[in-house]
Amino acid sequence: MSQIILLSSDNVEMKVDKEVAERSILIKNMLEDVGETPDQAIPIPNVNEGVLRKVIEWCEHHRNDPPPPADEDSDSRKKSTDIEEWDQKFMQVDQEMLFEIILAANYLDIKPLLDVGCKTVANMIKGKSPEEIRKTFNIQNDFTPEEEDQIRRENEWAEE
Amino acid sequence: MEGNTKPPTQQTPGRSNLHILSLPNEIQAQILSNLSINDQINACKASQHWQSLLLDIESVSKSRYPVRLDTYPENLGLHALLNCGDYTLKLLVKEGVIIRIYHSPTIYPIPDSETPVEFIWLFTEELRENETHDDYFDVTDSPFLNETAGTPFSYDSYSLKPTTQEEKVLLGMMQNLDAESVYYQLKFLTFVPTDIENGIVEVIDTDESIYLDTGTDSIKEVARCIMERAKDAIEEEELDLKSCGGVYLIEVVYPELKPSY
Repeated sequence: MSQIILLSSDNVEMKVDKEVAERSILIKNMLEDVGETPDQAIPIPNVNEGVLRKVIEWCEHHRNDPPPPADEDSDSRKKSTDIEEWDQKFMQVDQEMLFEIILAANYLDIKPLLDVGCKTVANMIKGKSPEEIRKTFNIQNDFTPEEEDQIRRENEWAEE
Repeated sequence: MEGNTKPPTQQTPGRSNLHILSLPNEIQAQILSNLSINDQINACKASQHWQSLLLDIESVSKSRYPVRLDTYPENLGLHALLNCGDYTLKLLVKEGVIIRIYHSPTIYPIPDSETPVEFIWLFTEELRENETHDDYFDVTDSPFLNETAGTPFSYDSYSLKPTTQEEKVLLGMMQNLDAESVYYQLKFLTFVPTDIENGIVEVIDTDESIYLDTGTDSIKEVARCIMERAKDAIEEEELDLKSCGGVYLIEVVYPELKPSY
């Protein structure tokens, strides 16, 4: 099986099966443009070694998955935050790494990985109050005191 | 990218600059669109930036109202229809689906001046056994108030594509049905803008619960029966379905209860 070399943003080379790397539509298109398996490393300037290794690990595990539907639109997409068990464990990383993986998936155009990342974050929001959400993601409260009052009034009813 | 949604600068102390609000808006929108309507309401209150994403990004609002009822060029929405006067609007949401809608009576019928303005639920039942006040969301001041008409009842789990207005309503209703049931108790709430220019809306509650013996446990057939009954209910009120701001099946299902006619 042919292999290619990916070069992370911090200049670390990684040898990967071409089939695995082609889970990334960006890399797949690049390889198609080149027309043959390149001898030189393909630079991935936006992704550092640690994140790239995680992304490759995901691609290895999902190498035989069928490609996602091409015309999947938001209307037909099932709103579900169900994530398969392996992916759940894979995503058990700190927030910074989770966001890095999401950004890498977005950059490398690996839609299923992007979906899993977004669903993981959505699951971290689910069932939480606004204050709990802020605490989870270290979000500053940017509402004015008047807007805060309004929110408090809304909550009073539920607390009766 | 739709909407005017510049993310604020936020940093996580002691870590790199990567923060949820520093993700691209498209990605944040995708995250938010995975949330149910009640979680979206809470996310809306957590951050102004998310509030603007939730309001401005069409893909996110679509996730809130998967079935659009684009009946009115004036873009009267469910909440906009109710947003005409002193009122309180609350939703009972279960697993992301709006089960019931409560509002104050000051919209319709308009109480006379001597009537003390009290909060009266459209449905005066006590809380059900497994319900708590936490299940209710006060959306009176929700920024979702002025969205285009839509029904929150999702149909996509049935992999069906509605083409007509009636099919949209029908399929929207199916979400709330228990596929194993034959008997249903139904209530419908209809929003009718009687004077669009002046924002006057009648909210019609079909008084009686409807007991329906569908004679089948086929989910599609049940939905069809219910749709027919809904149309009958509307016709009794001399309303044209297509002129309604929305027909919302807001109360369903006592699957175990065999009706006593």
